[in-house]
Amino acid sequence: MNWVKKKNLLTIESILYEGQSCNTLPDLWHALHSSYNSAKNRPINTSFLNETPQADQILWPLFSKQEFKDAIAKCSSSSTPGLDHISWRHLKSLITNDRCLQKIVQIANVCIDLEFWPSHFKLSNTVVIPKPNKNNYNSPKLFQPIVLLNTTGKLIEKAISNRLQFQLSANGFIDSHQFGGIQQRSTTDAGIYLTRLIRAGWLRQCHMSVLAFDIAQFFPSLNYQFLSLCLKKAGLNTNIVWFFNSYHSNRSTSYS
Amino acid sequence: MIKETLKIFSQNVRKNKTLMNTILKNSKNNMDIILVQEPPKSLILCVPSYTDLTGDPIYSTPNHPDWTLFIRQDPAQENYAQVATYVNKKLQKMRFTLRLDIINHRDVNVLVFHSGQHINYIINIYSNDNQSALHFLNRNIIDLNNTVVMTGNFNIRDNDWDPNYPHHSVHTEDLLTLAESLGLDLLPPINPGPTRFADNLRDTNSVIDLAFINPNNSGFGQYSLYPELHRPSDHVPLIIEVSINETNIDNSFWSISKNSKEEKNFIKAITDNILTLDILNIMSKENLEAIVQQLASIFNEAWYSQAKKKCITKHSKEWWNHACTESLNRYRNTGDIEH
Repeated sequence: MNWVKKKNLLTIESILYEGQSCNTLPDLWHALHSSYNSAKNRPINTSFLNETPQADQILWPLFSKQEFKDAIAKCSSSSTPGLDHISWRHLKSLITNDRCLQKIVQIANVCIDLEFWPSHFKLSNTVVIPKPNKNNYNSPKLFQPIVLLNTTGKLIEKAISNRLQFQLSANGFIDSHQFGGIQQRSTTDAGIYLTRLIRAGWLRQCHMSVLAFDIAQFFPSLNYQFLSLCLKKAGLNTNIVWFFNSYHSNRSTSYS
Repeated sequence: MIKETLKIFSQNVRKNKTLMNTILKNSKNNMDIILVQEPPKSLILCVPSYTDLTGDPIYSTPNHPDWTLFIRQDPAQENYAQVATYVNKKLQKMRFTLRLDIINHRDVNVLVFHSGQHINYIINIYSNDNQSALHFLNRNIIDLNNTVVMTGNFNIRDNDWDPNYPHHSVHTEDLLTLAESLGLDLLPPINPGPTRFADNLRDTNSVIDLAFINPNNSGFGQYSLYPELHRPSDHVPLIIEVSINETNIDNSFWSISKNSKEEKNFIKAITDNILTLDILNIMSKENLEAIVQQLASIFNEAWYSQAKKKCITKHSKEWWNHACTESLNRYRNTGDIEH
């Protein structure tokens, strides 16, 4: 018998939410949903967007097959698929057939053209994974939800995301101080920028201090109306703005 | 697979690690739950400490790949748990959890599990000579309606369950009141006899390990003593069988193996069907929605025509093999993830 196998995490305690133990599935669903989507539908003030200048209009050409090949090349073949069981590994095999890839590219182009994101691509399965190295696991906040979407939809999303990033960088809409999630910018850049600021302060005989903070629930608290306004300001054409309205509405997930 | 009865093993192992390991190894195919009183604890390692040059010791109770260990964690050594519960990993669909929010005491485990739509409890007790667990439970009134079984080492001798002992204990009433409040009845074993053998000739053998079972249980509940299995502990193991609501514990899943013939057929079926989709004539959102639904059903049909139902059983091959160990060692030595 092997006693030195990797030890499983100790997820043995009942999950507590607001002091109550979640014993039934509806209780557990309520606890998870309220914890992970607590910032949903909060009112926001968009008036500060008025100070941002309107960027020039950007043309949105049709997708090319190469954009899809580039997008899928970076995807891990071993990651878990969504509800339709199609993994990146399967999709990579599928698009080796050029006509098959052409069909997927056509679907993506039609989605943008009709300003519509089909419901199949919005279905997801949320898997709740325990965060490592915690003393106990009795609260939803000690778990990390991961949303598994259908992979074909994700491939189109990746192509759109690459295109958006390229175009928004090209017309200078992305702030130069934004380091996270931007191609060719990294945490190292943020570090170099910070040390430069500190050294510049020292040269002027100043005492430098750093205030660091983390925004809890940043992605779930994104407001979609606000996002639409941002896209308009960025100079994207109305097709894309309306496409994102459809993209963000009527989404559903199941927990497992 | 449908589960209708639970087979529960309960014994005071007198902190004997070898006995604990043997029980875990021998019971994995024929027991569902193991309730242990006075579990062993052994030193895992000493972690760096602010106060002690030799480091702070970390203790743990044996773990086993086939069992999930439910034990209360307490950094204070004098509060190390006196009860531990192991649940067979085959029962993971029944979602066993330790309810420390109800009872957080080193001598009591309250476990909840789901059978069908029902929530049930199992209580594992080690009540020491001072009866601290019993007093604690009577002080903190708990309301657990669906307790299936309460068992353990109660350290109470009484003529009610031990005919060879002529006296009654002052704690009996407390114990029976507790059982009554949980809707449980004291059950005699099928083969009555002593549950603890005396350490020396002056003392007599005694009955101090008891099982309380819910009389309203629609099925049955019974237990037997196995005196031939008690060594090296002085306590006899109890094997309890209780019926539960029918529960599906099927752990099977659908899968297509990598590089298999099925995977090739799967890709081919999808490719062939995608090529038949008419995408050029999509004029409306409804058309687009219908085409993508068609795409979804192509994936779905191909999946269920080629995927095989798989189930992890005791005969399944472990995924961790010699090559994995070699790769891990190589990575640890060189930090190189490429080779």
